[in-house]
Amino acid sequence: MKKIFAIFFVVILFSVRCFAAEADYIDEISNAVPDEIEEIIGGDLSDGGFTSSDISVGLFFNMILRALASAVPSATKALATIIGLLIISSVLGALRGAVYSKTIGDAVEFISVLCVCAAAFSMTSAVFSVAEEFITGLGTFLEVFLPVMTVLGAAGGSITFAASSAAVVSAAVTLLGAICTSFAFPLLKVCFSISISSAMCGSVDLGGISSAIKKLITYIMTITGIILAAVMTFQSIITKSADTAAIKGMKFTVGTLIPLVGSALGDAMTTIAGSVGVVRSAVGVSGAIIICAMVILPTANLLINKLFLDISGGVADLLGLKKERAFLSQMSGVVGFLTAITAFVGAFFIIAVSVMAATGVNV
Amino acid sequence: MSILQIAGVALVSAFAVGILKIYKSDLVVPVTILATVILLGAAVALMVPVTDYISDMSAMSGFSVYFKAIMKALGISIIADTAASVCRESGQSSVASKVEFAAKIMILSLALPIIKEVVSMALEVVK
Repeated sequence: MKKIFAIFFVVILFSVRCFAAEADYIDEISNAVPDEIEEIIGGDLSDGGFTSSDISVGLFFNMILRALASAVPSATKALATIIGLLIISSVLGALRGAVYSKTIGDAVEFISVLCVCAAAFSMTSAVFSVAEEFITGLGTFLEVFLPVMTVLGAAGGSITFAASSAAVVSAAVTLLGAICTSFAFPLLKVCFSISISSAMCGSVDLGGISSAIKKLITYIMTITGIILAAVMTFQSIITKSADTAAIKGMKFTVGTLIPLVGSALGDAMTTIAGSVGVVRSAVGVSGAIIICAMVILPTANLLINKLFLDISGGVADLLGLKKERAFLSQMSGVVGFLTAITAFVGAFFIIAVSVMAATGVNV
Repeated sequence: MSILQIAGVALVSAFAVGILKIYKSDLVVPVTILATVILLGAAVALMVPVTDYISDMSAMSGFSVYFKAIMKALGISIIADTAASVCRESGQSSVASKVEFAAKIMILSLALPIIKEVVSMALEVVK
């Protein structure tokens, strides 16, 4: 009887320690989150992370609204400036119609298009820094988050899964970060620069080069995503089975070899694994929501910029400024592509972290 | 000047040129140039409020240097086009084409600093 009470007391102590550890782990993760992301989430993460009552559709809608609210003012200013420039260019174009000579008129049109495109280009070239900061910030956050999830996974009995999933996610961070910063973003910057070259050299159409670059980036990102997703899926299936078999074997061994209290100890292991699983799920969900917020902020920024470039293109079309319209459409396409890459990277890691949080041994 | 005054000057100068062609043909070109300058000056005076407003708007946008270039290019094109038209009417089409060529070169030279700025911006983005 005394031994049973002792074991019961130890189990309770472990459970309490696990729940206390949850707050420590969430503190450690929240320290790695930038301040602007905490503002998007709308609360201080150090008060224990997210509970089941916190997670709702409203949480995500509020994050999206806060992200849009932070992105709209600067983008609106840029939109108003571009539309003003287009209107001025249209007025000057009407005056240009007074010139009888076609050659002189073409020269004036060239400089007019050049000036409007140069102004629009200088205002929207900052979108690349938004995407690059997202990739850097995500890598920094995962450097802190992955070891925490690995420890929790191992403590809950999913030793093989924790180690292998952490390795796969780390490799994915490195691989996707390298592909984005060393391959995709530089090529998109080339497309961005090509768009202004096409606007300046009206008779030379460099759109074929831009579309070839975009196709190449699409193929590489798709193949990379498929490979990473397949590896994660297969390794989670295999390692979960292995961990389940190992923990059941250990439980059987403990129950058989230890006299009198062996079965109680085996049940205690189940309880401890379950407690650690609760902590792991809470920490994992908090991490997934933080990554969601980290994705929403740059994606909202880029989408707003794309929308306003499309509106500017529509205004240029209305004013009869065809070359400016083509230029703004190309810029909008590049920004849209950048948005897609950012969303893809973010979605991949949200799913990866969710899998890490959800996968556990069946004890 | 109102449009009636401008139309009046144009009609009087056209009538005068027609008469001078018969009696004093060597005064045709000077009268044509005089009428052209008067009418161009009147048009530019009417354009001043528009250009002032555009300058104020472009200064607010922060891109006034671009619009100064466009305004200069427009001024060069109008003056060169006027001179080329007078030369053609005088039968000097080769002189007219050279005036147009010079104007085109001057406009492209105005564009050169902007092209350099755009290229440097593009190189900075690519880096």
